[in-house]
Amino acid sequence: MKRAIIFLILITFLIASIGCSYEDINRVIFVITIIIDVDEHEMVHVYLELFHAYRSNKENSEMGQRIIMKETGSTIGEALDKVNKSSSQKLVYSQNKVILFTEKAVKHGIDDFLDFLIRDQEMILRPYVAVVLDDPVTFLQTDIKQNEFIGLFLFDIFDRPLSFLVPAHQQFFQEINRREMGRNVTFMTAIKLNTEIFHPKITKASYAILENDKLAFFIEDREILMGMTFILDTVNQGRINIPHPNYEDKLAFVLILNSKTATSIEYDGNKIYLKKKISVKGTLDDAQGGLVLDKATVPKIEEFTKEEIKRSCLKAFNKFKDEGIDVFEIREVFNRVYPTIDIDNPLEQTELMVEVDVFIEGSSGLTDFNSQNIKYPTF
Amino acid sequence: MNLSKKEIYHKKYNNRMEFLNKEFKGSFDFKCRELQLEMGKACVVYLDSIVDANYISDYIIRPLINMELKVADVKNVKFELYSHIVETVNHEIEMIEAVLAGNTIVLLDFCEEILSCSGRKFQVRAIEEPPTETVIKGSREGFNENVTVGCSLIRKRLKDSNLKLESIFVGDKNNQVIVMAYIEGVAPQKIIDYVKKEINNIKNDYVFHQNIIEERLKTKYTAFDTVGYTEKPDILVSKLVEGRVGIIMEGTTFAIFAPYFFVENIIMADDYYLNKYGQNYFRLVRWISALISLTLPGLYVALTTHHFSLIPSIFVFRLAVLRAGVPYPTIVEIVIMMFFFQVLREAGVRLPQAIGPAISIVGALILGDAAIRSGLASNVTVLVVALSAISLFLIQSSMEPYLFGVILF
Repeated sequence: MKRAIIFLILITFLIASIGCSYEDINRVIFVITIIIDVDEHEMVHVYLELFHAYRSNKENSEMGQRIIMKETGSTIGEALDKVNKSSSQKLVYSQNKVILFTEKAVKHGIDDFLDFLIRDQEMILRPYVAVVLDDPVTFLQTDIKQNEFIGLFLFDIFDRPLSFLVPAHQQFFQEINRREMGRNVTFMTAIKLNTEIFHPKITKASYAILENDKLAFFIEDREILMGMTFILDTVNQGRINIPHPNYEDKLAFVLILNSKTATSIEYDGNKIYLKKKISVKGTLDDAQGGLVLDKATVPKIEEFTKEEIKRSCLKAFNKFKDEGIDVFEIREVFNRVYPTIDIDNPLEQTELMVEVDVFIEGSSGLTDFNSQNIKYPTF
Repeated sequence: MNLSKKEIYHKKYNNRMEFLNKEFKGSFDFKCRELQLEMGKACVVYLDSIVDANYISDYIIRPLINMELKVADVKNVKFELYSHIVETVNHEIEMIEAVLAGNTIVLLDFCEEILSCSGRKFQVRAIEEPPTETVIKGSREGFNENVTVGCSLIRKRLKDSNLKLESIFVGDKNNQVIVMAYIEGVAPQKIIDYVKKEINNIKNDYVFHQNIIEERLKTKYTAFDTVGYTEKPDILVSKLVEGRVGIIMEGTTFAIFAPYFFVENIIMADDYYLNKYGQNYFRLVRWISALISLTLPGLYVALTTHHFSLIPSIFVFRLAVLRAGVPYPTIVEIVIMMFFFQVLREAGVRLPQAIGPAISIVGALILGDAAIRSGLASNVTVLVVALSAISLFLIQSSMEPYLFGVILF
């Protein structure tokens, strides 16, 4: 009996082991960046930035090297198969940090590529997605000083908490979730090379708005991006320029410390009212010509900030309403609240109502010590 | 032929002498001191190596010589002897057992009875701090090989009339004395009866180590200890107070107690003497290290062969580079390094104390470094195996780490 049990355990262990694919960490090549491009013949070009660990017999030491590979196929899968043919070791996608689409690819439509990226078991859902505005070869050959791997550099940029009032960078799973909701409107950060001064740099240039997986337009307008951020409730930190409370020709800057946007929707049978209640906490960051933060100035700053936020939100909303692109997922929100009412494009009937509440804090919450009933200790 | 009483006693005396000489033939320390008393002959029999010679001279031989008996009665002889224990032995076999136990036998040719007097003096080691259970704060007394000393250390701490110290003899030929300690009314009667039954069922000729008892008391088909052991009387006392049954055996420094639970591996002797918050933290550390020791090598193999996505990128690349020159799969690498460690540990334990640390240095510095340089293992593998091995030793029981080591494999 004992022998039978031991035998069974061994067999189970062996079967379980055979089912798994074990590859030692030094016997694989890690994919860090995937760039997907498409040409006029609708052939898919896949560019890969790879990490390969090897032992150099020449140097007599262990090394890691960056490899760039490119293959073409009618699908991504075919192109990757070709890459595998010229690779000494198996490609592993667990460290894939970014999936980049070229401008041509987003114009063509990313739906042709998404199925492979979602369905393939080796692929992961964590990478950030972005649009690259440059030629992929030039882009990958650029020597970035901050990191020798462009994928890792981009991951650092995207993964860092936002310190600007721009929409959050999208990860692959967010992108595919968003496209399933509402009217399939998504957005991606667009990046480009900047070779103008000193070393080449990669910078966030604009945002690509995609409708039905195809590029609708790029947005560069700072105010629209700020409005989008407040409406989509993705504010982390950022600065808002407001008029100086004391001088007409000067500016002051408010640093947004945190913000929360509550959304509600109402339908009166004729119009849809999208209500956004934005609560902002900020502090005065900087003012041209200086500023005394006193009882009279703080309400002014709060008022200017409110106006600025409100204006940006309305500008962003009107831009998308004019373009007919439901980036704020109004249809999704409307369907959740009014599941029985079927309106094909609720955006056309929607009006944005913004209510902003701003609290400006100083170095201390207490700005007027004289009028406060403070009891000082007596000795 | 009718013999008088005196003749019968004299004959018995001679037969007993003959029996003793035959039994102890070849034992240099067997001594018979024959005395001519007023009433007849007497013989003082003992083993010289385990008795106190002065005690025998002063408290047994001297009173016998000075004895002035009017009636040849064993009761009167008993009254005359100064020895603090004088018992009557009824059988020759018991007589032999008494001599072997360090008692002094007094044979008289004018009485039928045999007298057994105390006077034993075994060589005992001083009470020292046990090397396997050192504490920062707390009692430093440890058991020695003497069962009486062990009992005295327990009694010193537990002044309770309910404390029972029952002696049981095991081993058909060597009659080893063991003492079963428990507190009546605290220890469950079921456990007391079970332990007694198991001890009485031991049918070995010779019993030298309590491992035989331990084996009988242990739960079957488990790799973990279900019987605990300690070298410290304060720990044994604390276990007795909790209702356990303790067993002390002549000739060993360890006292065993039952039942024993897995969680006790994590509890250390000085946990109760030091700051409770600090010690709770260290208990947590011990639990974590038990977990590390069991799972770290497996986790490492799983992460570096399959679940790469769970490792931060920077570390993945570093791991890949560090392993680039290693020709074997990770699992083989781990097994090799763990085998190295087992060899080193076994060597460290078996070697004399003076050479042991040297072996540790050779193992840690030279072998580890050489294994990396030769491409047999990567730095991280050595780190993982070393951490797992060190974590093993945070577990209290000296046997448990070995067991964990085996499970690890």
